[in-house]
Amino acid sequence: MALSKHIKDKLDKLRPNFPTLQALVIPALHEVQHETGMVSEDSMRDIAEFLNLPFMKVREVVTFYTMFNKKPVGKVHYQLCGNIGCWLNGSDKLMDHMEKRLKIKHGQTTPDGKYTLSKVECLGACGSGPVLQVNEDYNENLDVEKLDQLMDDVFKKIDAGENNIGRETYNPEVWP
Amino acid sequence: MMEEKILTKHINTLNCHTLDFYLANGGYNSLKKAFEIGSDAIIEEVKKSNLRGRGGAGFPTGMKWSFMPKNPVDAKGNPKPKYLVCNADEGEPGTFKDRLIMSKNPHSLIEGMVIAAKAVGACRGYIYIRGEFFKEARILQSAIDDARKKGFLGKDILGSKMDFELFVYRGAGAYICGEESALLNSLEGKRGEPRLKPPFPAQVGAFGMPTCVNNVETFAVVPYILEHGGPKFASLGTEKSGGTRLFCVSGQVERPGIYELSMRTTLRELIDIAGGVRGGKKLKAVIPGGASAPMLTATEIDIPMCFDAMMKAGTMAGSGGAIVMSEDVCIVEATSILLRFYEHESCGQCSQCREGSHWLARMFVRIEAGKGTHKDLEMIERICSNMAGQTICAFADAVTGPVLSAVRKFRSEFEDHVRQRRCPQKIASRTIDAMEIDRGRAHV
Amino acid sequence: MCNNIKIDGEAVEFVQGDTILQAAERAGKGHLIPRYCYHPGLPIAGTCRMCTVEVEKMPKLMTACSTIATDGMVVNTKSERVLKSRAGVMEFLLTNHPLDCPVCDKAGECELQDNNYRYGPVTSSFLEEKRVYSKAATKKLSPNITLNMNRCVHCERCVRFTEEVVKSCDLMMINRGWHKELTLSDEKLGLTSNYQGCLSDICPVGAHTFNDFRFKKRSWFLEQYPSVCDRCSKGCNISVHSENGVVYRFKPHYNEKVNGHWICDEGRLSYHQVMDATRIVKPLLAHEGSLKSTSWELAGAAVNYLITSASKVKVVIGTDATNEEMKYIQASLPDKFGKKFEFSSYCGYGEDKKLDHMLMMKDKTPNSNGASACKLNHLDGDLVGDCDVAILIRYGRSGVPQVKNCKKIIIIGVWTQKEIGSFGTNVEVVLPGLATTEKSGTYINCDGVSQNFSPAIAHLGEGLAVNSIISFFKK
Repeated sequence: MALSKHIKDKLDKLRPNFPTLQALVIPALHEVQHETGMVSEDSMRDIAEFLNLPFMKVREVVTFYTMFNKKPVGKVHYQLCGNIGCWLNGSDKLMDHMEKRLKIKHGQTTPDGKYTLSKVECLGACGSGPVLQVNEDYNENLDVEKLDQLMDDVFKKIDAGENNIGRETYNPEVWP
Repeated sequence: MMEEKILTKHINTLNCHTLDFYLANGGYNSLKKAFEIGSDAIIEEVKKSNLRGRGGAGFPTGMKWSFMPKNPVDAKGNPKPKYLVCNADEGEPGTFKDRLIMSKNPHSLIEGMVIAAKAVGACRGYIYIRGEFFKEARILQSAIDDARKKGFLGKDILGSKMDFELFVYRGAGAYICGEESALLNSLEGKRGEPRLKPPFPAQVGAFGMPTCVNNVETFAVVPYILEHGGPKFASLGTEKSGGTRLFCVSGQVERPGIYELSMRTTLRELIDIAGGVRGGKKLKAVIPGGASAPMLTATEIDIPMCFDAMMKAGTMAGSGGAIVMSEDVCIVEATSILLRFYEHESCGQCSQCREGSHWLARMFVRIEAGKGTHKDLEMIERICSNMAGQTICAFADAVTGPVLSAVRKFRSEFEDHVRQRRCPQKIASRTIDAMEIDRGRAHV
Repeated sequence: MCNNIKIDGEAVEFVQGDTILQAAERAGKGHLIPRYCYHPGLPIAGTCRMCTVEVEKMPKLMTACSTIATDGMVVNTKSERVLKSRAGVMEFLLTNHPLDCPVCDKAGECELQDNNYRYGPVTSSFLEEKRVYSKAATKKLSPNITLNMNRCVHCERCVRFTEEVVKSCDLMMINRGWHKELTLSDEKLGLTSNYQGCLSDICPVGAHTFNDFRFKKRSWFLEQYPSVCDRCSKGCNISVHSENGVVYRFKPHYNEKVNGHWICDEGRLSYHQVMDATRIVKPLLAHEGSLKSTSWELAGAAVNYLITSASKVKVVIGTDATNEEMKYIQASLPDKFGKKFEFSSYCGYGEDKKLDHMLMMKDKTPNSNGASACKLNHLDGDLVGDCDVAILIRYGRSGVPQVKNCKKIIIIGVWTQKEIGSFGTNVEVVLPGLATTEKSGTYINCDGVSQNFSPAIAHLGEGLAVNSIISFFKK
C-alpha cells in the first residue's frame, strides 16, 4: 500500500513551505488520519519512505502525540474533555451519561464500529465547558439535555449515511 | 470608566474575521506605518509600550525582538534566514483566548506578525496551532490566503521590497509543545521535547536558524501599538506591564468567558465582572494564571492581574486564565485532576518530571480515595522541592505550583481526607480512576 | 592563554568548548559528577539531571554535562543543594526500578547501584505500584541483546547510540512521559547493527544485557586487563575480563585514535576462538599416521631433524603474528639452520577496506601492516609448495593457506584440530603458541597506528612464546 495520490499531491504542495522534509511528518500524518481515520503501521512506513526518513522518525512522532489514532476509531469519535474547566462544570456526569448511552467505557469503540468514546485533556475551551469534540467539531456549554440532543442528531446522521459528520468545514483543496 | 478594547472591540459583529471587515476598520494601516518607520523604530515603539509576552512568562517583547541577531551568517559566511514563529498551541487549562483571536480577529495576528517580521528581519513565519483547532486553523489559513491576495503577505509586501511568507502548522496533541523549544522541535517534525538552553531560539531556533517565538495575543496587539504609539498602550496597563489583556475566566462563575481588561484590574474585579461565583456560593480558590499558577484563596484576590503583582503574591499571571472554584469543590480532587493532566502531558525527558509527575498523580488519587497518610503531606512537599527548577523546561515547576499551593493553603482539607478516610466534600459522584492513569489514557 | 575553572576549590584547566563535565574528566575529577544520560561517546542530552552542579552566580543548578565552561567559573559539586538534587533524582529513578539486583547481571558494575550507594536515599518512600512493562520484562531484542525494560532509567543512551553513532536507528522511545518505553523501531528487523554489545556497555543499568555474558559470571569476580582485539586490522583496544585464566568477555577500552569507545560484536565474541575447546594446547608429533601429544624436547628434535635434512624450507607467517614474532622468526631460523628459508606472510582476506563507517575492516587479521613493516611479502596466491618442508605459523586469525607438493608440514601457533585436519597426514609436528591475549607484542593497525600490548590472561595449556619454541629446535 502506498500513500494516496491526493496526499502525495498535498505534501508536494507543502514541501516548499519548509526547509526540511522531516517537517512534513506531522502534516502527512494528519492527512493520513483524515483519510483513513487512523495511522497504521503501514502508513507510517509509507510516509517514512515518501519523506526519505528512517521508519522510527515517523513512529516516534506518532506515539508522542495523542491526536494520532493507532487503532481504528468509530465513524464518530466523541472526545469529552475531563480537565478542570470542564470538570468544574460537570463533565464527569456527562461522561457517565455517554458511557451508559453508548454502552461502552471511555477508551472503547462500540462493537458496530460507529462510535468511539475518549476522555481527553484540556481542549482549550474552558470558558465554555463542558466541551465535547465530535470528530473535528467542538460542541460547547453542554449539559445532559444538549448532549442527548447532539447524540440524537449524530445518530440520525449516521443512519442517513452521512460521511462528514463533524467535518463540515473540511475542504480538500485547502491546507490545513 | 469605559475600558479601551484592542482585540475584542468587534468580536460580536458578524463576519468580523474577514479581511474586508478588518480593512474597513483601519486594518493593515499599522503595517504601512511599520514600513515607513523601519525596524529599529518598531522595536523602540514596542519597548515603549511595555508589552510583555502574553504566553505566560511575561518576557518584555521589545527586548526579545532586540535579541534577534541583525545579520546572522553560517559557518561559511552565508547569510542565515530568520524565522518568526507564533505560538498558538493553546492548551493550558483555563486559557482559551488565542482561539478567540484566531477565529474572530485573525488579521490582527497576521498584521502583527508581518510587522514583527519587519522588525526582526524574518523571511518566513509559522503559526503553530494546536491540532484540535481544526476550524480555527482553516479560518486562519483562509485569512492568510486573503492577505496574500491583497499583497500583505508574499513577495515585496506593499512595495517595501520585504518578502514574508506565513504558514499554518498544526500540532497534534501535546501540551508540552506550548514550550517554545518543544514547539520548534515539533515544527521540525520531531517529538515535542524541549531543548537544552542555551542556545536560545534567537540563536538556534527553528531548523537551526535564529527564531523569534511569540504568543498569538502578543502579535495581535502589535498593530495597535504602532497605530496609537507605545506610550498609549503602556498607559492602559500598570507601570511595568503595558496594555490590556484578554483574561479568561472559567470554572464556577456565572458568566465564564474572555474579558479584555486593563492589567490594573484586580482578580476580585475580574470575578465580579464575570458575574461572581455561580449560584451565589462562596469562593474557595482561584487559579489565577492558567493551571500552572499557584492557587489563591478567597482572601488573597485583591491584587492586580499584572505580572509583578502576581509574582509578589506568590503566584503568577501566566497566561491570564482564572479558574474559579466555589466552596463546593474538593481541592484534593481538583488538584488531582490537574495532576492527571500533567502526568499525561509530561514529555518524559527529565527524570524528575517523568517520575515525579506520575508519583504525585498516583499519590493524590490515593489521598482522594481516603487512603492517604499524614506522612504523605510531607512527601508531597519533598517531591515538589525535588522537581521544581531542576529540569530542562518549566513544566516541572508548573506541576508543583498548584500542588504546593493546594497543600499549603488548604492543608486542613488534606488532613480531613486522611483522618476521615474519605473525601468529606464530594460534589461529584465519580472519583478519578486510578487505573486510568495506569493505562496512560493513551488515546485509542 | 590559560583557561581555568574551579571545581570544589581546585583550579582545573580546560579546553575551549569543554563542558564542565568534560573539564572535570580532563582533570581526573570526573568521579565527582555522577551521570546517566551523559556518555563521552554520545551527543549530549542533558535529561537525566543527575550531573547538576552549583555554579557561582547562576541561580539554578546547572547540568555539568551541558554547561560550557567559561574562564573563572566556580563550580561546586558537593554543596548541600547539589547533594539534595542528586538524592532527589536517585529517589525518582528508584521509584520504578525493580529491586532485582541479586539476579541482575549488571549488579556490581551498575551506575544506578553505585550512585545510589553514594548519593541516594537509604529507604524508599514510594507507596504506589511500580511501573511494569509486562511485554518487555525479558525481551530478546536480538540473539545478542536481552532487554529488561523495567530496569530502564530512560537515559536514552542506547537510542542516541543507534541513531547517531552506528546510524542503524533500530531502537527508539515510544509514547511519552511516564509511559515512555524503549522498543525496537521495527519488530520485524530487530537489531541490525554489528555493534550491539556496546548497548550493554553503555547502558548504565541492567536494561540491556549481552546474551553471551548473561548469567555467566558476577562482574566482581572478573579481572580486567587491557589488550588489543585481533579480529580485524583495526586493532580496537579492549579490556579482557577473565577469572583464573578463563576469559568471560571482551569490552571496549577507550582509545581516541583507534576505536573510540566501541568495538564490534565480531571482535567482542572473538574470545571464543581463544577459549575454543578444540584449540591445540600441547605439542603434537606424527606417529604411526596420527598426531600424538609429546614433549617439547621430542617435538623440538623432530623439527631439528626435518629442517636439517631439508634443502628448501618455506616459512609462512600469518599476518596475525606480532612484529616481534615476525622479526624473531626471520632472524633466528637462518641463524640456526643457514640460508635455506623462504619467508612470506599470509593474510587470507584479500585487499583491506572499511566495511562500514565505524570500525569493521575486511582484513580479519591484526597485523598486515606489521608484516609489510617486517619486510615480509605476501604469499603469492593461497598456495605454499614445491619445497621439502613448510612451516606454517599463525595465531588463529589469518586464513589457512593450502599446501601443495610438500609432504612435510610444521605447524606453529594457535590452531584448532579442524584447521590442522585440512592438511591430512602431511603434518609432522604441531607446536602450540600463544594467542594475543596471552602474550605481549606489537601490531600495526590498518591506519598505521603501532600498538603495544601485554598479556591479559595466563595461558592455560602448554603453549609457548615463539622464542621459547624455537629455542627447542637446535640446542
